[in-house]
Amino acid sequence: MIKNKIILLIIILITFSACETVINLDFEDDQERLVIEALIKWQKGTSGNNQTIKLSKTASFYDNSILPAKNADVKISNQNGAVFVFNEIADGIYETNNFIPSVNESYTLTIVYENEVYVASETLIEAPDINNITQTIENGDSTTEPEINVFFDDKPNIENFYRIIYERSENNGASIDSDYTIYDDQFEDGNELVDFNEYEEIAINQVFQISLFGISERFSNYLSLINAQGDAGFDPFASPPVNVFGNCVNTTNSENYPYGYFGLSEFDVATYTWQ
Amino acid sequence: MNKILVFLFLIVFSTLSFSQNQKSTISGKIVDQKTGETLIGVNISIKNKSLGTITNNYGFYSITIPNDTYTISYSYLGYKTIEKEIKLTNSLQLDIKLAEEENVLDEVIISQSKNNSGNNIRKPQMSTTVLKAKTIKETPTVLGESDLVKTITLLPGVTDVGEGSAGFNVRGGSTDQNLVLLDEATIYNTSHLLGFLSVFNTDVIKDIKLYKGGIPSKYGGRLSSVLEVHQKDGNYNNTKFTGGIGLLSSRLMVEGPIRKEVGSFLVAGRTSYLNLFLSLADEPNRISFYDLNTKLSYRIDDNNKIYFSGYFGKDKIKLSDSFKNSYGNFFINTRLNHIFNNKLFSNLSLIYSEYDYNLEFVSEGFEWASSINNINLKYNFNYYLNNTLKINFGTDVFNYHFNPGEIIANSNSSPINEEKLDDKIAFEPSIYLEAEHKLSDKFTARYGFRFSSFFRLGNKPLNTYTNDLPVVFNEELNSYESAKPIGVQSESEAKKTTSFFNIEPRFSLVYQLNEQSSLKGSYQRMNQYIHLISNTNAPTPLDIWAPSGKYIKPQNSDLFALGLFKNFEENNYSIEVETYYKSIKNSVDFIDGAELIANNNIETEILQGDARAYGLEFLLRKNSGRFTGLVGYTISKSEQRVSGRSPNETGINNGIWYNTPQDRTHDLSITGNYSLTEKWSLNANFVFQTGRPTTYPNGQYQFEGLVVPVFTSRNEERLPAYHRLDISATYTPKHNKNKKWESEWVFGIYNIYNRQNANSIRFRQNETTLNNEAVQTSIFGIIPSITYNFKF
Repeated sequence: MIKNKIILLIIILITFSACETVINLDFEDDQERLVIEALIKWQKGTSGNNQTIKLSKTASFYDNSILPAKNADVKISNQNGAVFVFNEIADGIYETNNFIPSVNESYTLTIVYENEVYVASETLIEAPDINNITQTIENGDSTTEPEINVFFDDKPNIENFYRIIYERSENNGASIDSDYTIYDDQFEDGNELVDFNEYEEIAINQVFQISLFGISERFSNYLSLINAQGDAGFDPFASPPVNVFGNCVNTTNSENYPYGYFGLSEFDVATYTWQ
Repeated sequence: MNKILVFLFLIVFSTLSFSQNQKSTISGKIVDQKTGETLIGVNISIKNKSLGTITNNYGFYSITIPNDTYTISYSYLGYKTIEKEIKLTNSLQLDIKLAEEENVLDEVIISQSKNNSGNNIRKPQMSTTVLKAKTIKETPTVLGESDLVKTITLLPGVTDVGEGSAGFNVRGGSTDQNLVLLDEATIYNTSHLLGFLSVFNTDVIKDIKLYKGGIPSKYGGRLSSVLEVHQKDGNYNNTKFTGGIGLLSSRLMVEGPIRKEVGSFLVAGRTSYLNLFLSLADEPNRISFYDLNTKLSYRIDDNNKIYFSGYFGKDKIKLSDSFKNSYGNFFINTRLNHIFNNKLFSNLSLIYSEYDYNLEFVSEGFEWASSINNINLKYNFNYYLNNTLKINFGTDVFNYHFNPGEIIANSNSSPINEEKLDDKIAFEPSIYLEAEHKLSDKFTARYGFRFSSFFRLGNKPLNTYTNDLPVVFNEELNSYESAKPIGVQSESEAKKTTSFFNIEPRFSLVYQLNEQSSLKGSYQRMNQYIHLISNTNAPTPLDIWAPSGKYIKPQNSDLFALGLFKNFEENNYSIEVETYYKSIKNSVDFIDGAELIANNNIETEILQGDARAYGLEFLLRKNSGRFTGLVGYTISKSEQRVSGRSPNETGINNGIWYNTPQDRTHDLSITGNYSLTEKWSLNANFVFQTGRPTTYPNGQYQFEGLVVPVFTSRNEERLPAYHRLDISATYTPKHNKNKKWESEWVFGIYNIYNRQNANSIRFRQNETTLNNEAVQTSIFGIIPSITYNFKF
């Protein structure tokens, strides 16, 4: 969290006098690869039986059409050998209704796609309860920035990583926007933590649904890196862009490596209506 | 090492045995007649003999020759040459005052200054450029602020990092490989206003010397270059004010005698006033800097002179009320020149320097602070043994203290646990011995060595890793990752000192083809024990230095250079052509996606590999006359490689050589200065550079709706070429002889054809069309400027 703030500040400082223009650049395309979006989410107090995995393919840089990866065999197994099979319910969308989540249990994802086998393993990470949600308005010199604050207790003596998703909707349920923050407890171990999300403007009666996920350090790094690549090239102070590898491996042909991530999280949900 | 010592002593004694008794020594100091300022690099030559010497950094010279009658000539660019006829019977002290040429347009004087140079042909020193403050002031720059760093980037082999960045790259080396010395004190960050300006106030500068190679044994600790900046002593005769008003900042300098011809002082300050404009524009953000240069010098007696110098600079940035940021350099320095006898000159320096960085996050309730400081003792001796042999020796000792970062809560309600990353302490003592030896009429050599060592003192226990490898290779994912610590060192283990010892041979040779031309060759080995931890292409103020130790090895480099030097048209023109090859071991690179901020275990992000750079540099100069200028061109290559540490590892980029961010294939700069009339002079410079290496995407994918680009291998592509043309005109109103007030107006236009140079290209999803697009960021378009300078 603190690190992100420091990086953010440096980026703001650099944009003081820059001038931007959109230019034409041609690239040679990389080969087509499998993209795995296998995020198991278990809301506290629910069974967590229904889970979805999305498979798609990489595209050329300027091409907007992301194609689904169809006809794959997808399954997850746990430490006891139980196997949960995911069936394709729409193009590239695979679903199960018998998944059994368990905190700190290790799971293995196996995908067979176009005769190649992709594998990933991860542990299901627990999440703390949301203690409280408050609203504040940050007063700057000439700006006022409303923000939502989420309070929760950090588990002491271990490194914890969190992802907090903020989904905003109108009072009638119409969705407005959604974004998330990543929080690690470095420098704040064992304290009551407060995460906040700033908005330019919030109207009265807008509703926030806030989900607090426990995530692994690796997934935290992965999310930070793919977000950084999104606006990579904020030179000269940005770090060089890199290809971000998740935790999935092609065991048949390592050259045809996949992108994406297999992660499992417990999460707590609370809602808040802006006053 | 023993072999080298024996070799050196043999040479010294063999030369001694040739010495005859009927020799005498002429020694003394050379100063500016008007100001009393000591002059560095004045050429002292014995007419009709191929004998001569130059003044050292403190204006001292010594020459020992058989008793006879001689004409000695003292010449220095921009000054009237003095000739003295001497019947030498006994050793004598000859202090000389040189007068500045009053008007460079005077044809008579121009012909005099032609005798001037020639040192560039005779001395073994190569790969070096000396610039006077005047040259720096005449070079047009953005917003009319004359700037040392921007000026040296016009030289071949030197490139800038990018617009709005203060660092510079020498012969393909990174910015942290430059040793920057202001009055001998190390400057860790040369930038003001995040890089728009450098920390050097041009009014205060006497001259500068940039070593790109053939670095004397006196210097060490960095791989690529040494930038030596000398502050003026201050006027020994009259109190003078110098100042200027520019668009970005204003400056004022006061100098004068403490005691006429004996002691002098100098105080100079600069401050920016951008904040005024920002508050007028109703902007909540603030950015400002100020700096202060001071110097005192005092001649205790003929043989002892003491100097105090100091620098204090600070940059402050405020974003609304939520972020505050400040950073700055500070040093104080005491120096004592002592002349033991007419052949032995010494200087003892004691220096404290510091760089610190602070961030305050008001609403989050914490402050971040980091710093590096050192105490440095230098003791240097010049021993002018006879007219063919001069010996330099001395010691250079650093004591470093690194504070990589500390978090301080600034209110009780803050959820922050105060925490400090572990301080690091290191000690870097070195000794050196070097001879400047005239082997024959044609050959002169400079050879010597520096024995450097580095002790990383035990402090806090370090983490331990499996097989002592803080970075592990993930074979499945074919990438490097930070290792998880398996424990911490025991107290006794932690107390141990990690030490490194290295011998750095240095060698330069000149073969004089004739009076006007020579061939030179040089070899140097350098070691660098402290490393800048930065994964960005340009230095940021937040960059943190880390010492070598258990997990980080010192970097070392070997540089070979060959050059052809030629003066023609009576030294009016000079040509230098040099070629070099540099190879670096243990160069620092970072794993993909390295986390460098607030990381207590920085070793888990670093991989060390090899780097190499080679190139051909061409420099044509016109030194005097109405028109002066230079053309510099470099063709070069700079690349690095991180191979796997075992057969299972592929290394970064599959272990293949890749471009360093500072690689530029072509680098051309043309600078001209034309004195049109007595009142008007015109300046122009043109710069062309190959674009900086970068990495472009070759695909994309979506994860949770986020578009993630897929990239080619590191630094495979390039930004578009960089070029621009700047012009300026200086108007000097006619000087009224009765009034002391002198002034000039400098009108400048930076980037006159408004080239939109790419500072970076980034990639994003267009918010409305949702298409991916490439976005070029450029910093400076066409920028006119006006500056007023005065002196009284």
